[in-house]
Amino acid sequence: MLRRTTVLISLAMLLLPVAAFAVGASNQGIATVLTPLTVNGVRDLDFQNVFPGVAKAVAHTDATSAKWTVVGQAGAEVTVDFTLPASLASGGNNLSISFSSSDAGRNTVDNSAGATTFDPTVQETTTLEAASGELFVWLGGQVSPAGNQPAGVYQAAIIADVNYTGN
Amino acid sequence: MPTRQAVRECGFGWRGALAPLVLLLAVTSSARASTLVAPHALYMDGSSRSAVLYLQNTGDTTQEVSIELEFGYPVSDSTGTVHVQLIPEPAPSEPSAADWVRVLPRRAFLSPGERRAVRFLAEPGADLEDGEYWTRVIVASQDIGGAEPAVVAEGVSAQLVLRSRVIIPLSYRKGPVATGVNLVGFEPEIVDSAVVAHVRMERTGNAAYLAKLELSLAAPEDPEGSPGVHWERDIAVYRDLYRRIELPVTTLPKGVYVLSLRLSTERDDIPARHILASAPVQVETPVLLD
Repeated sequence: MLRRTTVLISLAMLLLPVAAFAVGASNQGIATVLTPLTVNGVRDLDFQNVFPGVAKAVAHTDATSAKWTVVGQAGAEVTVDFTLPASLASGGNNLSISFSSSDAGRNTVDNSAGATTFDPTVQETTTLEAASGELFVWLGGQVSPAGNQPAGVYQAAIIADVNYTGN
Repeated sequence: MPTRQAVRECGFGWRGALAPLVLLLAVTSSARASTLVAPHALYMDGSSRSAVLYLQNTGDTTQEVSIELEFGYPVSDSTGTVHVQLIPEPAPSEPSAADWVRVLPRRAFLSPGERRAVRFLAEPGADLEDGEYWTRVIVASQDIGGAEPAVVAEGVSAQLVLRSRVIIPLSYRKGPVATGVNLVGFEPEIVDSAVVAHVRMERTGNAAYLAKLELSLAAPEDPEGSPGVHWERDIAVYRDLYRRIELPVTTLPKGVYVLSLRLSTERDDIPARHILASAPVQVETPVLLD
């Protein structure tokens, strides 16, 4: 009986009309403005063409570094945490990649040159800009192709976690 | 752009008869991978047992979005920095809601501009003790409609593709819940041209202490007229918390000042019905700037 009730409640919830996003639809009733959190993946970390046996680094200030923007509650504290790969893959072949302790940068304005650097292997705690609620994050790295690195397009994923601390 | 002042609850007439009208602040973006999540914290209780999270793809490519739950809460380290640790397999004694909150749907594909409501339904066991239970909601998104990298005929190219995860807290309250804080340490220290306040807090009751911490440094003989220094920050004391707060005092003349600390549950980013109120805590201590 309890299970059936639960299923019915679940179905009813799914069928409820979603009143969200009706911006400005009415000034009656209860209005709650929900503070959103948006994370934008602006661009990938792109090493472009590399040569076998020649390491290639992309600094977080370079135009081909990875870039995210975060917009949320002004002044709120967030943590930024990366899950980084040890290698990139192309078919069955791997290409090693490494990250230094200054390969990540953050700033509350869109200026990577003036960013505060941090270690991308360690969780970073910072605050969103006090008025705009913005945060910009960049990431560089270095790939080290072997002398006999097979040709190919090597790819991997970087995961950026943005976590509201509530502080 | 959202601000703390943008978070308001306004009641008109008979609240119970009218469903909440939820307004999501529009965020425009040229990003190719972008997911909006609102609100930034979810609250559920034993009477409603449900909550809704709104997602929107604000980018210009299709996004695959998945939602997971994992136990975790903010903790501070010896430097006063706050970290959020996710604990995939918490001990049975931990107040985790991760295993019994259902998410509908757990996975979705969002076209550019598309919006989706995700519903959370609590299904705790009947023997769940009164108190507050926590989990983190992990919204993972990845671009599935982006341009493929150019294939090189001869040679090697390398690219790391972005994924994003937005992580917000979810609290479930059952039965009587209360919160408060014990100020177990409040020590000022002069470091170079700043007053550093070491604030150590321990939560009381059976729910997280979501509050505001205010610090003021003012001259005692003229506390109203002196501009002094003021600092405030939201805090979340799930169990205990240490914060190291640096107040720059380069513009203040030498003399004796009073450093005041106030902790209150007056948070304007939390809907009023979800605030657990407790009596403010206020202390002060003299500080000599020489």
